[in-house]
Amino acid sequence: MIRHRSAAIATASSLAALLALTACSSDSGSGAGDSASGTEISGEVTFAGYGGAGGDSITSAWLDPFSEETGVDALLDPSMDNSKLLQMIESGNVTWDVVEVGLDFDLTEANDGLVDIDCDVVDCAAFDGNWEVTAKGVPMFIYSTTVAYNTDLFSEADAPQDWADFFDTDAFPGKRAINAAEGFFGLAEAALISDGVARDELYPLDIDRALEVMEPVKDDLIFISSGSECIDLVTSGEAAVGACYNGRVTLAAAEGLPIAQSWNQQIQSADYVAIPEGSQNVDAAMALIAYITSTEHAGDIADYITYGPGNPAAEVSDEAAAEVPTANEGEGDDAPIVADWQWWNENRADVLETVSEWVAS
Amino acid sequence: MGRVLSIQGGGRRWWISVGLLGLLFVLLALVVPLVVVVQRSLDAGFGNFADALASASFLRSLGNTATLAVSVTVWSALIGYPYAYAMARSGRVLSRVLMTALMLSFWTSLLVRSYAWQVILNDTGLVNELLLGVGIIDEPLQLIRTPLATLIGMTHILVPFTVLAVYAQLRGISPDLAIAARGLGATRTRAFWTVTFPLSLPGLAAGSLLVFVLTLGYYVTPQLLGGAGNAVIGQSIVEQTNVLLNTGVGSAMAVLLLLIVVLILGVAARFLGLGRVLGIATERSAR
Repeated sequence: MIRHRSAAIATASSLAALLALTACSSDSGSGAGDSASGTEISGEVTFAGYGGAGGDSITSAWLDPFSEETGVDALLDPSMDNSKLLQMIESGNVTWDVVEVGLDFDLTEANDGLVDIDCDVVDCAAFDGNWEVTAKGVPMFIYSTTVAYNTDLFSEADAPQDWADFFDTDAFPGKRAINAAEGFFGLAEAALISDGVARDELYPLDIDRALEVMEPVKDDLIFISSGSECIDLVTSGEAAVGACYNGRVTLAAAEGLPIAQSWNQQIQSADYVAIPEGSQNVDAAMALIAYITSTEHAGDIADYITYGPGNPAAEVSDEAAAEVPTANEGEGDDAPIVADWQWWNENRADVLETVSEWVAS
Repeated sequence: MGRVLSIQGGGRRWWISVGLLGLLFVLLALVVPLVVVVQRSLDAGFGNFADALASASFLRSLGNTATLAVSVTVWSALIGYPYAYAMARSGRVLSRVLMTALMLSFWTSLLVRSYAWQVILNDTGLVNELLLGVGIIDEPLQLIRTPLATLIGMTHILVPFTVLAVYAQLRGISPDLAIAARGLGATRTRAFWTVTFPLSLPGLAAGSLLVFVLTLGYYVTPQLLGGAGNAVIGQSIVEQTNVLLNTGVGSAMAVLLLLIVVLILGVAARFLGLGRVLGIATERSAR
């Protein structure tokens, strides 16, 4: 059965490829996302992601439709883990074709463990916003850390609006839930901006100054290490305000819990997609990346979970827009904060050391 | 023992092949990964070890782990010994109730138990609500995210090891010995401290050693109950391998942890008699 099906698909897709080649050979960019981007693809691709609501959403928004459209079976393996990926690449025993990686993974030209992104297949030119295509990775979706607050303690009118308010416990009393496990990635930037540092003068980050901003309110900071803790603390009122993930805030609010968020100065992060060197089906993997990040489909994810598309040209449906980071970006001082991940990758070990010493002292 | 060794011919060959299978498993599941870890830790000469030992937060986590392991061991002994004694010396019904309660707790996933302690120790958790409700305190006590929370959770999770080891030892000591001591004029307390307790010490030592060594490698419970400022070794290793993707330094930290455990076991072997402590002594080595 399967063999017959894939044979039929192979014929169909090679036909489609022929058609595509003859019909729009001059327009290689916009063909991205179709199975017919020049190379014949077949077989199976394994997408390594993180399971949970995120993994389910990726499956519904992208993997299943891609399988349907191209005949290539795109399957989710929810056991993605950076150290596991590294080991796979090192040992040469690679069972993943497309991997979901955060910005802490080296996506520059220097990383020999990943396949070069093929901009003839992927619509690289569309990425002209905060998040660029790198030599080895393409932005898949964008989420953010926002100033979230307990709505029983603050009404919308006098709620904390930005990071200056977050660190001001006189005007907005109560404890703050904040993640220290990642060396205040993004949050150090937020502290410095709230202290008056101009955005174009943030780097190299003055971590000591960021810690000085936090020092006066240190006793009110609750150091957390996971996204769910943030929601638990803020909704229970143990913390009045938290630096929480936007998606979790929306979910908790939808369940009727007393939490809301301000989008001003949202700290954006992106998850990228990349192909590990040693993938058994690089062509299909590249086609899947092209599909996921295409202007046409990148926004589909927002119908399932409150992530914004990594491709700035992509649009999200009107129903989803209110809760998606990229659809709620402020301007000027309220604009999103985007951490310089290259700086972080070079300095993460030192920053973590400094921050964990500060937290422990 | 004697009977097993006297098995002849085919039977003996069968036992040897079973033993070899076990050896193969140990080789694959323990030795090979261990070699890989040691190899990784040395991928920059001794640089990884130097990096690990130069990191103030790693040294702090070493200290935290040692403190935690000592206190969990002591509390497990203090709570576990009387429990084991009651289990060994009480009537059938009480003994069974105690054993069932212990096993229920022992067999519940440590993840579930750690989360349960989170619920109990939260600012809005059971303990604080109760104390606030009764009016003993006005502000919630900081229980969660403290070393105390980790200590409580870890002791709860590991105390069965002490109890079971002590219980097994006590069961092997005839109650007649204490009765004889009392017949010779000792008080109940004196009979316990001069006869029963010294005889039960190998069980207590075995249980305590298990608890101590297990605590050194624990990750989940300190992660869920302890605060960000009191990281243990396990958390330092995860930070290196998963956050910094620095498997070399992470492996060096793991090797250091292993060396510490081996050192402790060595000391235990020298001064406590490791064979006796682990209950694997043959007649000769026990002497």
